[in-house]
Parts: sequence; structure tokens; C-alpha cells
Amino acid sequence: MKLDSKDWLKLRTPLVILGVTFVVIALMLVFAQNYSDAEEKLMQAQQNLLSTARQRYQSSGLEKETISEYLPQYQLLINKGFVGEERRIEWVEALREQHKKNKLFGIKYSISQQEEYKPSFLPSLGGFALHRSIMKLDLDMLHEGDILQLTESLNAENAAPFMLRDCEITRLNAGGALGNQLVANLHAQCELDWLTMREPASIEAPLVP
Amino acid sequence: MMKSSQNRLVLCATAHSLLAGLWHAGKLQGSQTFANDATGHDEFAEFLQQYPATPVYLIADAVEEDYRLESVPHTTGAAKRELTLRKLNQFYRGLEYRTAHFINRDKDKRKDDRFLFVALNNADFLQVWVKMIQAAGAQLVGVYLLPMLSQILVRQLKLMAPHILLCEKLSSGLRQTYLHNGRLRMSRLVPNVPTATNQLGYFYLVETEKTRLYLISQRFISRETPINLVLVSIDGATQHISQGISQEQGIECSDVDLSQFAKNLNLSTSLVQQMPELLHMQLLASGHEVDNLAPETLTKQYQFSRLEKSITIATLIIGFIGLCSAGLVLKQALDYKSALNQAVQDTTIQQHQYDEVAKNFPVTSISAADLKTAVQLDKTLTSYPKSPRRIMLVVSAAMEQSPEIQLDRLRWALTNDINIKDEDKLIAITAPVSEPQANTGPQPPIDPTKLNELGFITAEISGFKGDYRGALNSVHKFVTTLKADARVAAVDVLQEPVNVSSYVNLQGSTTDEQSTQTQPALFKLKVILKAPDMPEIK
Repeated sequence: MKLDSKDWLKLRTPLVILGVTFVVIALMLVFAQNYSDAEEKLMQAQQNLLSTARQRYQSSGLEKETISEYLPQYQLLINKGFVGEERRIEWVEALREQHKKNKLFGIKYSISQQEEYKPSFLPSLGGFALHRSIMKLDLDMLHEGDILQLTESLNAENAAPFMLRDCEITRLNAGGALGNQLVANLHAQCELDWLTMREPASIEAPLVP
Repeated sequence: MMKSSQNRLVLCATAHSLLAGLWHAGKLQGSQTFANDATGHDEFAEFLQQYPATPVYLIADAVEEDYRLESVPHTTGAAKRELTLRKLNQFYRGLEYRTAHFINRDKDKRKDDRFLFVALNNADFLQVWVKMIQAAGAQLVGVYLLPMLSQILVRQLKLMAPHILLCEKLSSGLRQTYLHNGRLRMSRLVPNVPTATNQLGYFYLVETEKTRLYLISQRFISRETPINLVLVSIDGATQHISQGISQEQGIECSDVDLSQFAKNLNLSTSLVQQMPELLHMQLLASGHEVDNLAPETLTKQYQFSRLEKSITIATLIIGFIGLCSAGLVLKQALDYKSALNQAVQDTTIQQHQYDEVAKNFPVTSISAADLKTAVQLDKTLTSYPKSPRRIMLVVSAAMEQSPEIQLDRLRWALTNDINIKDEDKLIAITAPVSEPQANTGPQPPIDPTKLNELGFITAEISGFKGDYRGALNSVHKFVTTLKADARVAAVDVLQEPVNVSSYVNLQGSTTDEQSTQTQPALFKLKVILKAPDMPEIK
């Protein structure tokens, strides 16, 4: 059947109604689907919260045991400076003490600005944020035992934890044997990370440079 | 509106009159006959006024019919339409009522399509009725030939003989329709049927013979083709004629009583007896549509009305389905909302119960999990080596076996990247050590979550006087000793005292051995230590 302009004029109203119906229905469907999706997301989020709350209540006995076991140890971490603000004075004092105690040659040190640290080799940090300050040590040594004594002594029982990452020991008098006089025979350059953690509640506080 | 949409006006026009029947939902509501004169026309015009929006089906029962069987190449779609139109113009140019009725496809050769082209040679008797239908604004669905409905009748009666000559006594006369394998091939109407009963037998016989001769002349059948003559009547009036023809002429002739068939179609037998065309009209009204002969201009109003109706129905369907779908989605959303409210309540209850229990916990602002994490992290960090003691012990042990080796530099690193570069001022790495000289052990798999202790050893052969072979042997021995240490995972030779690789240049003097100013035989190794056995941190 061929339609002329008169026919199209007659068909205009039903076609417009069809188009309007289509658009209105499409809009309704889109609105309904969006509303449904939003409600579903909210519901799923709340279900997760409920699941967490249930889990938390069911494991409250275990939680109490955990707190009782780990709270004293955590307090020790705060005391030794692993949790909270870093204690650079104590680190420098410890270095000076080792210098005196082990009768070492002079130790040059430099501590860089503290930065956030997310190493891949450490397990989950939970709600904590780990920070590090890189300390570079530069010292002359009578023999190689000096560096062992120094770095191992820094790792005292109540000292803040650190990671010795790099040490380079070079012979000062190349080609010769070590002398018996009290002069530096070796030179050492080491890098270590002083590590501190911030508690979850204070993570958002800005770092003071 | 619903009632009128199920109404159908079926008309059967002959040269002398027009029979009109009104059907509702497939059931005959009433019928009326209009003479083909001025009075009949006026009455018909009034009749049409009563059913303005009712679709009208018009059956033509005329003498002037033409049938042509033709094979055309198989086509589809627009090509098929164009081909049949060309054939129709070729056979019936100037005729208004014509059509191509598809029979079947040839089974052999080119598998052509077989069409029966039919037309009304003289449609004057029909035009007056059609004009009145158009004047009344009624919707003409189509114009149909009565024999095409006879074909439906034969199918309904389940008459399966290959060559059937159907004889029907209609108001307009005797109609003889030839069907091959149930398909219409030809039909003819003999208008003047004798009224005397005793002449009917002879009349049927004569007309049958005429038809048979015509079929032979048109090569529809041969002289030997056995034709099955079927006489149909509503009251069994043709039974004795059938018997007479069978016995006297030897033609296979059967009589079919249509009374039961009419009853099945909810038609009164007395009505069908008076107006036998009602049977064909009933078939059309029941939905057995056949090929339409009317041109598009006549049926356009109906087609247009159907298009409008289709758009309206589509609108309603889309609206209904859309509303249902939106309703379902909204219901689902409300279910989610209900589940959300329930979950909020349950969460509050669980939180309250937990708070009650937590009153007895030791006071801390840090969660139990975080407390544990912090302590375990401290233990992990404490477990890492705090000095290069292990590498020193390893190197020292190896040097005891090779006193000619003098250590110039030792770099130790604790890293998860075993491929780190070492910048050494004492020795520059010139090129990779050649394959035969490479003394590399199997590299441990790289695991970025594990820390490894790495050592870079720069050493020389003390008292070197230019004996490169001896220097190489000393280094190989030193490497072998290192590898033998259980604490060592791998040893790489980064630089040998002399690089004999085919990939680098080698320069020197044959007087090197006698020279007092020889270059030191420096070499460089990379040692990877195995992770020490550490107690598991809990």
C-alpha cells in the first residue's frame, strides 16, 4: 500500500501518540531501573554492614581475648616509639652512645624528611599508616666488625624498629693489607629506615614537616 | 467498538443479484438479497448505511472468468511481485479484477513456480456494487472468486482424488470446478439450469462432457484421465443423478450431502438450500481468505484502517508491557527498600548487643585486629637482619680457601629486587661474561613480597703478574667455594679478571708477564643469600 501526504496527515496523531507512549514508557523504565539499582546497592551495603555486625558480635569473645593479649604489647610499641611521633633525638643519642661505647671513629649521619611508606614485602598494615625516615651513616672503621657492632647495638630491646637496607664497605688503602695501627682501614656507608606507625584515628592529621 | 470489530459483511454478487450476509464472530446473523436493478441498488445503499465501519468481503460468481496456468522462474520478494505483475499485464491488460494464485513449485528441471492467473473478463455486473460500497465509505477488504472458495470446500470435505470435477448447483446456475490434487485449475458457470427434475440428469451429463472436452483441449487432462465427478447438494437431490451417471456412463461419480457440513458451520440447511452461496460466504467469514482480485485503490481504505488499528494496538501493547515492566521493576525496588529497612533494624540490634558485650572489654581506642597487626608488624621488622654479618661470614669462609683473593669492596643490600644495579667506582662492568665463562647459578624465583640479602663483592688477585689463566682459575675456585656454602642461593660472576667473551674487544701485550707495572686482576661477583630459617611469627 502506498501512502500519500493525506494518509500521513491522518496517521500523524496515532504515530505521535505511539512515539510519546514509547518515550514515556522508556523514561519510566529508566527511572524505575535506576531507582531499583540504587535501592539494591543500599540494601547490599546494609547487608554487608549487618554481616559485619553479626560477625563482630559472634566473635566478641575472641576479640576480648585478642585485646587482652595484644594491648600490653601494643603499649610497649608506643613506649619504644614505633607507634606515634618519631623520636629523632633518641635516635641521635643512641648513635652517640654507641660511638662512645665502641670507641668508633666519627660517624656522619643525615636523616631525611619523613615520608609515607607502603612496601610490598610487608603484610597488611590494617588501619595504620607506616612512615619512614631514611638515615644515612658515613663512617671510617678500623675493621669490619665496627659496622656490625654499631648497627646491631642500635637494635636494642626498647629501641624503635628500623630496617638496615644497604651497606657499602670499601678498603681505604687499596691493594694493601690492614694495618695494626689505630688508623681507619675501611670506610662504610649505610642506609637504614627508621619506621613509625600512626594510629588509625590520627591518620588524617597532617604530617608536620 | 469491540462488537463492531468482530462483524463482517460478506457479499456474493451474480449477474442478477447480490446476496449480503452479516456475520458476527463467525456466526451468520442474517442475510438479504438485492436485485441488480434500481430498487435493489437503493435498498443495498440503505443496508450499507447500517454498517459503516464493518469490513466488506465481496465474492464474484460470474460466467466471464478466465484461468491460465503458467510456470515462471522461481523468485521471491519484490522480484516475484514484479514478475507476476508483468504476467498479469501480459494476460489481462486493461482488466481491473485479476490475480496470480500460487499453486506449487515444480519438482524437476528449474523448480519453477506454478501460478494460476485468474481474472474477471467482464466486471460490469460487479462495478455497480463496488461503486456503492465506495460511495458509502465502507471498507472493502477484497474481491474473491467463488471457485477459489470451492477449493477450500473440497479441502474441508477431505476429497483426496487427484482429478476432481466439483459440480455445485448455485443460485446463478451450475458451477463445475476442476481441481488437480486439491488445487483449482479451472471453473465454469452454466447459467441456465433446467427446472424440470427429469431433465437434470441429462443436463449434468452434457455439461460434464463439455467441461471434459475443454479440459482435454487445454491439456489439463488426457482422454484416459479418470475424472472423479463430485456432485454436492444440501438435500441429497443429486443422488439419483450421480447414480445414473455412474451406471450409464461409467464415470466415477459420487454424491456429497452437505447438510452435516452446514450444521457444523452453524448454518441452517433450509437457508443453504435456498441460497447455496451461503456456504462459500461462511467459509470466507470464518477466516478462510483466498486471493484478492481487487486493485489496491479499492482496498486501500480497509488497508489504511487496518494500519491505523495496528498502530493503536501497538501503542496499547507497548503501553501495557511498559507499565507492567516498570511496575515489576518498581516492585523489586520496593522489595529492596523493605529488605534495607529490615537490615538496618537488624544491624542496630546486633550493634546494641555488641555494645553490651564490649562494656567488659579492656579500654582501648584501637580495634583488636589493629592491635594484633601492629604487634605482628613489629615482630616482622625485628626479624629482619640488622647488619651484613651473614654475607661477611660467607665471604670470609670462602676467602680462607682462596688466600690469593683480596677483598676491596663489599656492598650488602636487603631488598625485594634481586636485579638491582650496583655502582662501583673500582670496577666498571664492560660486557656480559661469555657463556662458557659465565659462572652463574640458577636464579631464585623473584618474589616481591620477600626480602633477600644481596652481596656485591669487588676483589682482586693479590700478587697478579699477568697470568690470566691462573687468575681465572682462582676466581672459578672462589665462586665454587661460595656456591658450596649452604647459606648461598646463587652466585653471579659480573666481571672476570680478563673478559674473553667473543662479544667484546680484547687488547694487551705479549710482554705483560715481564712488565713490572701490571694492571690489577679485578673481578666482581654478585651473591644472593638464602633466607635464614626464622621462627614463625604468630
